[in-house]
Amino acid sequence: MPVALVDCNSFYASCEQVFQPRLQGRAVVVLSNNDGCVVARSREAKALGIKMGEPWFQVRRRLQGQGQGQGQAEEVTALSSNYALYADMSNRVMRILGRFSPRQEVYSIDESFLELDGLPEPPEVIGQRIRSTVLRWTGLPVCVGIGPTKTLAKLANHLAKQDPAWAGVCDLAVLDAGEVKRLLAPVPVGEVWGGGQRLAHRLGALGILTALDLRRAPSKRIRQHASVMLGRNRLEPRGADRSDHQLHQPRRREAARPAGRGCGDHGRDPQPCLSP
Amino acid sequence: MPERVIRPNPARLEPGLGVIANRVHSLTASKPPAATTAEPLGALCSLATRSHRPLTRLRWPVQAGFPSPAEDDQDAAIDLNELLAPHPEACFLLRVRGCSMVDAGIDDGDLLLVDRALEPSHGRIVIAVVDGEFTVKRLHRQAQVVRLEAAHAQYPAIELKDGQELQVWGVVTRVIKSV
Repeated sequence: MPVALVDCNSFYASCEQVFQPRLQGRAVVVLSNNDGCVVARSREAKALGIKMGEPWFQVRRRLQGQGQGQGQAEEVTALSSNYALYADMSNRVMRILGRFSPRQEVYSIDESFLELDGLPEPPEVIGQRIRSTVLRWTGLPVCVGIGPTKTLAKLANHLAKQDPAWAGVCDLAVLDAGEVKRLLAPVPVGEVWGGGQRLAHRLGALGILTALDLRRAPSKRIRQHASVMLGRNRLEPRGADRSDHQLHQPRRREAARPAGRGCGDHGRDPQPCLSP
Repeated sequence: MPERVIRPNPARLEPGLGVIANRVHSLTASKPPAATTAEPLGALCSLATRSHRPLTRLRWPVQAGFPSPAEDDQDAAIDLNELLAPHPEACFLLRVRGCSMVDAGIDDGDLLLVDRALEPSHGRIVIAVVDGEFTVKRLHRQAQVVRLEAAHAQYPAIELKDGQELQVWGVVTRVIKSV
């Protein structure tokens, strides 16, 4: 019952880099409306220690300060956000993903779950093909995490992002139980669900601090205590509960999509084995 | 620190073309224009979604007698997206600036339809990235020799030096011109 979570790397920054090739391999940040805060960072910008949500004036001041100390400051390109472009690129990515599996749940602008059951190839092979197709067709790099449940797919995706040795695709099924434990133990819950600080805090109160704790926790208990925030079955870590592998359909984005093209297409015309 | 903040620049809309990639000119203003660059216009698939097959409206009232023989063919309209963009997710529109490809029929101001799903093979006209800029050229790739050829006597081909990597952004499939 493998589920894949496909997630675009540094989505807004990557979209900008596709159309401004000179920014490839450079530190790029995308700012929120009115250029207030950093809402996306390229890998190089992350390496400079720029935080998500950090006000841009602070980033600028800090980097200028560093520049005076060390001679040459790192160059950062800051861009205003262009949500029309990101929405268009997101639609492209989601449609490409829909070609790989008829069962898709678009989770956010840059993430989608795919059920990989009943496909003729091993999930890892499909994951690699998803990655190379999205990269070639749209120019956007993605990571693929594969696990028996949505929660574990999300964790696998986190691992694939962190460690380049996975080459962008991490299938937990290839690991034995001990290895999974070793990898999940140091991962804080809040880091996997980015921005979910309140969620992380609440889970922390239950003694769930790391991804491994989350995996061990009985899902019923989590639901009881954090039901408000887990309304969309974010966390059903063990796979005992059907809701964690059932993908939510109709999907969230459906209302925003024009009728005629969109999720309906995936059901009608599944092309599970795309060879581009 | 030489950083650049670009003020909010709402995506312009060009009639019928959908969303335009925010190619911010303030970024390029200080540089001399390259021989032939291409400016991404993006979003052919937005066009596809917008124009996608409205319900056919009958132009004739329902016949109580002999039906109109044309009624059966009413939905046989040509969908330009289907015709021109077989991979809507991978197709982009770019605007040509410059005249280095005029002998290939690509003039200043033309729109190029670029399909990223296609393999860039020898002889195809491609959008390549040279020194961080888009350029339209014909790809020559034979016997270990890779170069980007212009289609204009005054523009020399761009030879790739050892170790220099060629990045092909997409393959040009159509040229759209105003006449």
